[in-house]
Amino acid sequence: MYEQLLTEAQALQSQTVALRREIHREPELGLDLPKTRAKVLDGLSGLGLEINQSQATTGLVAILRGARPGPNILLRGDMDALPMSEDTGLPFASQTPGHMHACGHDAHTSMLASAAHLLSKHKEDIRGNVLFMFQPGEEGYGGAKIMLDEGLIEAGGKPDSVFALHVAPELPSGIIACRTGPILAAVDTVHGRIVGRGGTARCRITLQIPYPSHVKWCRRYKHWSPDNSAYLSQLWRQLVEYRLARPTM
Amino acid sequence: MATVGRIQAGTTNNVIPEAAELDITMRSLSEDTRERLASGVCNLIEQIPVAHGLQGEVKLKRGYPPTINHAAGAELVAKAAQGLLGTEGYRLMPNPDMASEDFSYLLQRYNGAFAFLGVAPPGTDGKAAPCHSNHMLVDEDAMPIGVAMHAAIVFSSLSGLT
Repeated sequence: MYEQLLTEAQALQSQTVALRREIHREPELGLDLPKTRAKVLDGLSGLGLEINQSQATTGLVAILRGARPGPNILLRGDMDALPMSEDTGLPFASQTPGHMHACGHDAHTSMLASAAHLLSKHKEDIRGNVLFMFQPGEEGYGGAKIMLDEGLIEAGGKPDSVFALHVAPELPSGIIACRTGPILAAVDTVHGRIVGRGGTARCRITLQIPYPSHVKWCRRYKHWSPDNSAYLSQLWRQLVEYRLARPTM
Repeated sequence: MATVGRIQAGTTNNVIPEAAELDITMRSLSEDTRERLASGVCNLIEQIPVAHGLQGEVKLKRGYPPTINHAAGAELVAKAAQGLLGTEGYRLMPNPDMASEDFSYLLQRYNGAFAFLGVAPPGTDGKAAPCHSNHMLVDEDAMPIGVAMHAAIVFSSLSGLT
């Protein structure tokens, strides 16, 4: 059976590559990807899938109902590109300056569309439903959250489990890598501003220069980890010592 | 981990500026660490300047939550990958990747897993341009494996593939 799936996937390769290159050539950013959505819809046409389109984005969920009832499995492919210029020299490189599929979402989308083709041929063997989630706005726009919040993910039935594949150019071609527990990080950002009193550099004594604490901060905490539980108290001690050593600051 | 990626103050050589700015990225692998990191970094920025007679202002912007694979989902991925590719085609990652993904929101709500598909172009030997590089390439010969993986995951989940 596994071997058959590989053979069938191989047989779809020309259309997988064609869709991937079409998407690659015309990258779109963010939540509004009308051209990419049109390519996906075109790629899914003729399969007889139920299609629920997102109202808030250009995302969609295509549903393959198996011949018999069973669980709902969601597979996700993201569709958006990045705001950067492409320098690959590929014949199908981006034709939109400043936009590039540099995170493989073109491949994610085309592989998911071909999976819909492959699985549609096995409709009779499927006990349950497959939800193909085509999602825009992965690159910082929270497209997945928007599609969840608008109820689109559960519109065709609540998923019992969800899966996504992401390409990795640093891994040998064709390898699958995974793990239990955390696989990717949370990324939050902080903008800090240190405010003193500015003025001319000739009368420093009356000014409050924002650099010393600033430079100190960066030097010491450039790669700071919270896992050392003693850190804050240690830091406080250092700060007090710093003040005592420089009472005129 | 916290990285100060940008520090900026001043405009010219004889003006002491009123303010200095920093931009920091914080990466964490659990909600607990995430909260401790955020409150720790924000406290430092607000309070160290006070010790120097200055004021610290801070704006925290939340990104995506950590992507946490469920054990059953990750096992299913491993089983599907090994079925398709043999044991050598599946790699159990010793450590998480410190990038982030909004698929994390789905994994907060539903069982499942996120996995990687190797697409190193031939001959790059682990030194291929990474994601988000202007030279990033995908080995298209890996795509049928991605397609078959999607199908194998479905069959493993739905019909007890043997």
